[in-house]
Amino acid sequence: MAIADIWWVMLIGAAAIFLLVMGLVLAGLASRAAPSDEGERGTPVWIWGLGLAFPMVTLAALTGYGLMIGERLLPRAAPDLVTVEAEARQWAWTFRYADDPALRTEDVLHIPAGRPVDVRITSRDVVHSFWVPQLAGKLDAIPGRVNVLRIEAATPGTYAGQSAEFSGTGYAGHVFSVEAHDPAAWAAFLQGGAP
Amino acid sequence: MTASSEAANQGPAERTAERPDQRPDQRPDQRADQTPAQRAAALRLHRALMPIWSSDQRFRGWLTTSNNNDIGTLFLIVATSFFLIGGILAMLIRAQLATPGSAFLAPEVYNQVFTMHGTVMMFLFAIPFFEAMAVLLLPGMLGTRDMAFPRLGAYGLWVYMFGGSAVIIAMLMGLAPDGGWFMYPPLSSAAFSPGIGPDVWLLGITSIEVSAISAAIEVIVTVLRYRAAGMSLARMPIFAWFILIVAVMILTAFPPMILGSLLLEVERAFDWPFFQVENGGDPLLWQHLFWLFGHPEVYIIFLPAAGMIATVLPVMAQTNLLGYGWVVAAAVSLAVLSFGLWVHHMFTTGIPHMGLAFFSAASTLVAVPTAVMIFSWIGTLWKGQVRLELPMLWLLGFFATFVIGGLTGVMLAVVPFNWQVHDTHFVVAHLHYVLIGGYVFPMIAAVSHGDPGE
Repeated sequence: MAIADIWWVMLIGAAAIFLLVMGLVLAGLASRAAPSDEGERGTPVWIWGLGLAFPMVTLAALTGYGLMIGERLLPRAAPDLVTVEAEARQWAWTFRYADDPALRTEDVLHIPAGRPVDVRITSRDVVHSFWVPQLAGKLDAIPGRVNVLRIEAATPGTYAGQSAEFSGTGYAGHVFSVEAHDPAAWAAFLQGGAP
Repeated sequence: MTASSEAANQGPAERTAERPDQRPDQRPDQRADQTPAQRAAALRLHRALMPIWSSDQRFRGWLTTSNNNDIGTLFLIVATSFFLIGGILAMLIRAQLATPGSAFLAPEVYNQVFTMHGTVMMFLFAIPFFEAMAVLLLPGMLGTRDMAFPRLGAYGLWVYMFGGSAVIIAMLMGLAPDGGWFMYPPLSSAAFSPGIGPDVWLLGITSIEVSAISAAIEVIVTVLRYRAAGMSLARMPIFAWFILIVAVMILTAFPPMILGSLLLEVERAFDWPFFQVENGGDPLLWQHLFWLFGHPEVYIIFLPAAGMIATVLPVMAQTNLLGYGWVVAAAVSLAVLSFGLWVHHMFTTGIPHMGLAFFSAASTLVAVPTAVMIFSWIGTLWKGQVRLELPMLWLLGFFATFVIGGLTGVMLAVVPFNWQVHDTHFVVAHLHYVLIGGYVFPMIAAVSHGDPGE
């Protein structure tokens, strides 16, 4: 997944920068310059080079990369889009389905695999957060607001999800799961059959 | 108390006299333009003024004192006690989290413990501890007898003691707030937290903020108006620069938090609508107000410690600081930038991606002035000869830990990655790297530098 790529890029980059900085610190400990050196002759390298130019270039690249990935993950119009609703409360989730307004499930969200799904997230009481780590990042469930999260499961299966915003004493057990179905099972689910 | 006050006042002055960039003719006992008679007259005047400036010698002097050394010492002792309490709470959290599903603490207790750990460390330890250092050291560094508005300083101390102990006493009675140290409504609203805990939090924390604002006013006036003759801003000890910048930040960042606390308290007490949807409020308003304070707060905590590093590290390297002006400029730009990125705490609240892009760029941008400081310090190490004494060892710990904290911070500023790790232990780890490495280690270095115990 794209976010995992970002993580590996950043982890390797950060490790390299950490080693560079610590190497410079240790080299500074070993250096034996004359202690009377009170000049500012290191300024071009330390301030202009490492202090200003180095982070600006690195960060501009990283921010641009991150925003590009972010744009790709936004909910956009798609022909085979499925819309579901997720309503959080202390400490359970209710899911409803645009394809059949009568359908309702508790703590298990059913979606078709291989198709983009928009989850319309809201909350009945306090702030919660909808998070299925394998499918997408998290998005908060805020009372009075509806946030739309785009998820897509590549293969059928069960994906663990949990609320990721502290919500009181039942927070630790505030979990749910996502069932991704192949087309036949999805059709059966919509017809009210056992998924 | 008078004698100890005098001795403490000498401390910083003597230290700065040892710095290589200090000219020997600035030593107070070697001034060539004074005759022995003038010196004797000055000494007589000093002795005549001492009773006016010093505190009551009896025990009640501790309660009525307005001397900066006494206030600073009391501040330091109280803040350190709260640090120990916060540490004990951290151990309880770790004990609970050592095994999954542990029955060590019930959820009700655990929620109080983790809420109080964050509250104590942020509000009762970190801010007052650097205020204590500033009150204690600034007059000595600036060559003045006391802080401006000494009674305001005493007021700040006692308001802080009141607010801090109110929160701690509530915790000992089992009535501590349990809605997280960020107190998001509606969880902290009357409907979902009916107890007295959030009220104690809001009133206690507001007291501590009032105390911080009074300290900030003192610092600003002291630095701008009370410097010794001939000490221009550009010649101040660099710690004074950092603490001046922090004081201006406090004056700007704390009012939104005080406003938020007042609104939430009014909502809880009188059912006025600010954060409840049913009555037309919006829970996101709290998050904006809280983080508009909460993010500058991080730099309010880091910059005094950075000022300590910029003071101690050149002594350890036996040279002067590389790029004094650059470091000051970096601190100023950090202060300005820190007010433009609070939304990176709210990347997952459904704010449009274009808005997030602005805050993401601003969040990565703060790494630039931080890098200027870090590399100025490493350059200082390179051009000097480093003495590996105790404060320097703590500063090495700062470099390793804080750089990891900074790099993980840049990762968190990347929006899609943030969507995954927001509200996870990645954030917990990041903020502890930053605060332990960027605040606790330098402050311990500063304390051990100021009092080597010899």
